[in-house]
Amino acid sequence: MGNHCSVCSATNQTCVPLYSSNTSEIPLGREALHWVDPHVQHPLQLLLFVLGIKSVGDRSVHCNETTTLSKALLEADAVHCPVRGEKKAYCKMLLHAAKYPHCAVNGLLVAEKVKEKKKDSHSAPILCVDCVPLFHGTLALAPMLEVALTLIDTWCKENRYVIAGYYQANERTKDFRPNQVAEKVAARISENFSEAAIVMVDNSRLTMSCFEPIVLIYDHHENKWKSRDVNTDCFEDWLEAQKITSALLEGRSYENLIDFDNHLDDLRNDWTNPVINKSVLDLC
Amino acid sequence: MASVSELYDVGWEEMRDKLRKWREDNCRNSEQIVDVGEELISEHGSKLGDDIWIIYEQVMIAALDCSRDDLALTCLQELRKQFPDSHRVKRLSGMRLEALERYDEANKHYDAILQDDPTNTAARKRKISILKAQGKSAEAIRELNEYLEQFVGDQEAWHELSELYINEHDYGKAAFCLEELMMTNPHNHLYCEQYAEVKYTQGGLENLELSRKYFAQALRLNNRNMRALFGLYMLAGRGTKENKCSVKAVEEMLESMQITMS
Repeated sequence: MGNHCSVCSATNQTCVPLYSSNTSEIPLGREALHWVDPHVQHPLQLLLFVLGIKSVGDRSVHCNETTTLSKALLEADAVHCPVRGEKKAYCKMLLHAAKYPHCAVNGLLVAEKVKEKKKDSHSAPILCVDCVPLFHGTLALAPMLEVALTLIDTWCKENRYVIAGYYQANERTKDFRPNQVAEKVAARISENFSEAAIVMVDNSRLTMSCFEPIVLIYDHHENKWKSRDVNTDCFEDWLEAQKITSALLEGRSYENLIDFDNHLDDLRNDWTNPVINKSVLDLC
Repeated sequence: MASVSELYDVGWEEMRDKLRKWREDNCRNSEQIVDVGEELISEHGSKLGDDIWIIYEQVMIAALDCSRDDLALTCLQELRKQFPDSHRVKRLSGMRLEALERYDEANKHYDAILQDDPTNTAARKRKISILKAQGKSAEAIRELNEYLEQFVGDQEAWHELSELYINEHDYGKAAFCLEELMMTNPHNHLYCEQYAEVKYTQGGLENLELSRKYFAQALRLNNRNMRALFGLYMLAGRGTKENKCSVKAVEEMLESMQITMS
């Protein structure tokens, strides 16, 4: 390849440009991941860069073997989160779980519909702007789920949203694995939206203060759902989200949260939750 | 923090009546029960008379739900003082141990009750709940089946079993449990509707036919049951030609329902 390394001034085949920010320090190994160019969407794309097919920036990282670095990249599956959460979505998800502590709860995550992807498919991260709480209690029955998906799909089309994910909080505190219901619903959502994610709430870490994100995000890779590292980068503005969620939990706003089950009990209940949305805005 | 009586401008009699209503309806609004009950006990305990014991029990269970072990222990101690040898109070002790996740001790408690009184249904059901809490659903289902062989009329147990089966995706057996419930409660639209949902989820032409029939039955029993109406709507137009109910008719029903509700 013969890339000229600006650090060592030597032509080194394993020395490839990796990131574009002008920094004086060049981190190595896993720290390099935090300096990755934001255009790089997926660990595999980064691997392509590392293998020197395309140069990204003018800084480079030394690695003795390309294989070591690429292995590190493949291990760190959260180079960057394709699906990120906004405060309203995170907030309502947790409020739903808090409203029915003795039940399993689930719901859908919606994102704004982006226009057609650019030719080189470097799309911006998908932001889940809202969530619709669906059911509590028995989640494994089909008819109402189909009704909900149809109605919410119609609502999404009217508001230029798209159903982008599914969240679930299981009944038992220590249970956070996605089950058959989660996988089935997510598979259904993936038919319309290829990068659908499953978000599982870790009940054991649910507290009033919400210092850290307590969700696990699962992506579909090779016919299996694999979890990804979640950190505060997966959220549009974590500090705001944390502050608002904490305030709403303490104020017991979850008593006013309406899920689809509540709507089916009384049609006047609005599952778009305008009241909670307003509370979130007021706290911003 | 303002007290309940101040916030809602109610007297102690209304609070007591509200607690009674929640008891009779078997509501699980534990936070509200704790708020109202705690105040009622601490400020108006002397006026309640004999009602106070059942209120202690209700508040204790709600306190366990809200992780208020202090309140739960207070209620439990009062009950123990008043009813020292009661199995009902022993069961509450066991429930407190369950809430603290001390399942082995809780099991010992319940075993002790059952040794004394083998027909004590409450203790047996708590043991099954422990299995459920530990995630041992197969064993919980087995134990519950054994329990139901002895106590065939226990509707709460049949419903719990149907839920366990649904969570295991064994819809056939869940349907069987709901059939038992429908037999003993032919006028209950909720059982009809849930049975229809299970049949729908099972899938297959026969099951969808049955599902449509039971959604219709639920609607006949209660014409405001939205789930039944939606279920009927989803199935309208499917099935054999003779049985196709008009999609339009269902849509009209849906619209009229939406208008009356809004």
